[in-house]
Amino acid sequence: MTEKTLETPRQVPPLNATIQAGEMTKKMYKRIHERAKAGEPVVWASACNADTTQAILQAMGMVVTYPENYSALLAVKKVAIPYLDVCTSDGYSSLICGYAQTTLGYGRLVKEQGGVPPNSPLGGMPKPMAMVGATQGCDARFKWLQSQSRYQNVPVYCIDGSSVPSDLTFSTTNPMALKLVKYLTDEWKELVRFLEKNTGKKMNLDDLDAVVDNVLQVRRAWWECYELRKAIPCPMSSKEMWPCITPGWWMANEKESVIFYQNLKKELQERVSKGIGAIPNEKYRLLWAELPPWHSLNVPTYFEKFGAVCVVESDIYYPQPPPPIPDTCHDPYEKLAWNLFWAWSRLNEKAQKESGSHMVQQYLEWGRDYYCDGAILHFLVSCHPMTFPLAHTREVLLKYAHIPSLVIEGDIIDERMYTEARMKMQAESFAETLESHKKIRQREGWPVAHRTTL
Amino acid sequence: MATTTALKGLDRVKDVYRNRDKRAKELKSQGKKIVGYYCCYPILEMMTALDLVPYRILGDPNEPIVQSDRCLPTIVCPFVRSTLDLGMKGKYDFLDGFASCHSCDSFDLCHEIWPQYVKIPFFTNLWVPHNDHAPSIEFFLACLKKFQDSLEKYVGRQITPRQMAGAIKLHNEHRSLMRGIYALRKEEPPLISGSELQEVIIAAMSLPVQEGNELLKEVRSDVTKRANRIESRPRVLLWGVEIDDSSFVKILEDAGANIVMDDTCIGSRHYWSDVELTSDPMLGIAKRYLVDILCPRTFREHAGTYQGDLEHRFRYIKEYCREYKAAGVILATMRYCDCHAYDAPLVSDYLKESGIPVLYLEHDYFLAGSAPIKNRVQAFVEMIAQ
Repeated sequence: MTEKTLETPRQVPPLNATIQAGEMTKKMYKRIHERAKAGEPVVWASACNADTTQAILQAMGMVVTYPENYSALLAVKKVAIPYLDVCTSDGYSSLICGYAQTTLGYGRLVKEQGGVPPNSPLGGMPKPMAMVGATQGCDARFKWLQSQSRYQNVPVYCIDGSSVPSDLTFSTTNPMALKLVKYLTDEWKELVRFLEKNTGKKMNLDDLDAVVDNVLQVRRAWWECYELRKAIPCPMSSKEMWPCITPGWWMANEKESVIFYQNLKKELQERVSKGIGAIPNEKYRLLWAELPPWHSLNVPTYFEKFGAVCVVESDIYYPQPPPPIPDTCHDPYEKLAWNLFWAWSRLNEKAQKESGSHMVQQYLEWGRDYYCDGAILHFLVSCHPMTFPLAHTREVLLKYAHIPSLVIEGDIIDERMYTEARMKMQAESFAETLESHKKIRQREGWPVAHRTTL
Repeated sequence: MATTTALKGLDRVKDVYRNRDKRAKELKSQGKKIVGYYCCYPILEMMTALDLVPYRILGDPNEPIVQSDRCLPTIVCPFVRSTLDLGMKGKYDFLDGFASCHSCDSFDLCHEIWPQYVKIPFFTNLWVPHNDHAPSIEFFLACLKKFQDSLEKYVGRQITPRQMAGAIKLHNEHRSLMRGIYALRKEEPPLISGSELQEVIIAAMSLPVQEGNELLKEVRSDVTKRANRIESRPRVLLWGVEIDDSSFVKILEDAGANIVMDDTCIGSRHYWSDVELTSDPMLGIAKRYLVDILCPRTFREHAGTYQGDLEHRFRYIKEYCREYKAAGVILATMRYCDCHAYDAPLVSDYLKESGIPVLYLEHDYFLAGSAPIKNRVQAFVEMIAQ
């Protein structure tokens, strides 16, 4: 799929933030290589929701490199496929996580060639001293780094703290909640011991406190941008937000990231006050579940041609409303734990009455709060945990909000899973579905953003 | 518990295997409560202590999936899709309860999906940490208490220490008896085939533990006394996932292998460790279920180097091969099973470096397209026979 084949001319100027996000990414990798060259300890880490691992690694002065981010970059630059092929040629299934395949392939090439492969985008990833996996979000996030030791041959740690089951609602007094918070803090303290042992660096709690506060500020500023996207017309589409996750997910320890989202907020406020939408003639509003096609971030453009804009997306990246951390909590580990627990459980009370699932409930809440007319459900060949709830999501959106869905099959990394012709056909027929369901919803008194002729 | 059958031993195994739910339905009509469970982690001792009958949820690789496509994408674990499909078709309507667990992503998400689509009166979920070090054991103890509380609330009474001790004893005896039957495969040729043993396991998982224990004693007696010997063939260890139908093992046997040992989910992982009798039974239960069950879903503390880690994590497979005189190993993973898919190349590295030949198969659970599997196994068996 090439960008040239997508026909809709952009009439709304791009947000400055989307350009700045790209610059921040380049700067991030430049700094990583400078620090690695200066001998600072490099750690490859899995992303964790609510930035928990990152806060600890950054506070200890690690040079944190995220294979998941690097894989996405390779896919954006459309150079990921050779790495996928190297991975599968070395015995791995082609169905494991696309991020994992890319970086396992990368790891194999590094091992074979004795260093970063030539022409690696952004200088590649420097060799790690240790690797830190996590069970949050999916099994792949620890299995893949455990596997990566085949090529890197360095110690690996796994932080546990799996997704909260839907029968545990957020509470600051429930004994099980308190046990979970203690478990999370214990796991992170074990991580610190692991890093101290393998890198020689020590944790300073004041540094951690400062980073945690920054992380919470970043997430708040980012969340405020999401809130502005509820406006009609929506000032920022999903394809503009995806590149903007960089400061929030990979650089949440940086003051620069707070400023980034504050600036983005200003841009969005200006658009909202002037009634400027992400697309000129917004007619339908869509939610995108779950992960984006990094190799083809312009896919939503197919829907924009008939006035449909993706207004909200990707629960796993969503910064969440500010967590109600207990006033008595001053320990930075505990602040992180309450933040994480909040992120994974805040909708469980509603989920128990409706969808049964935290993630699916988020889509339903978005459907309501963002006045969505439809949903794009992106079934991913190589990401099973993020795909697993999506068929149920389709049922729930229809049952509780009369929102129709379109299933598109593809992948986060492997662009061979897409065909442009099929996408065009699906988008065109979905437009008709949106219109007919909108009429029904309007007639039945459901809230709609743009009224249609009945 | 009264049983209406006069069948014993291997004949009873065949009968139970073919009609898995028959005994469960009989017990239900006598007033017993049947609780279905996924995977190796829900605590069977707690269920037995409360006089609940644990019943392992299995799929059917011969049954086309029709209903669960409504609520599960096709690109997720086919075993889970199959089990939910059976549930939606009413095949598990006799269950009074369902115990899921956080063992892997798919099973974990089932605790959200099943209550939405299958009508079973009681649902519970066991949260299982992925690490096995001290903080995880401490947290797991809290998870066990939550699980136990949910069962006790459902039944309306608490487990007494005596009941717990009795249940642990029964299940330890069960596991010991099954290991005794496994040991019959150390002989050359093995006294019981892999496919037969798979049926014994599945039958045992369909019965209350006391009946299962009696059945295993009868099976051992039948097997050691029977005259017909299994043909001598290359000896193979089977590593992998949920093999819930003897047909899969039969395919490997028809290709020329004797499956003399396994390291699978519906196999040795379920039976190889007992609950230690500790002063606080929860400690013994926590250790057995979290630490001693050797499944790829659990992260074992990394040994610091790749080779060291392989030795630390997979040495037990090499020991199985030595003990059961396996000449080769078949790694059978299922499509969309992440935990096993990441480990398979590493297990392969380790075993090959130890001089043990390996064949890696990735299958889709359903048996319709098994010819390529048979061909590859035939070639592998010919190679290891040389």
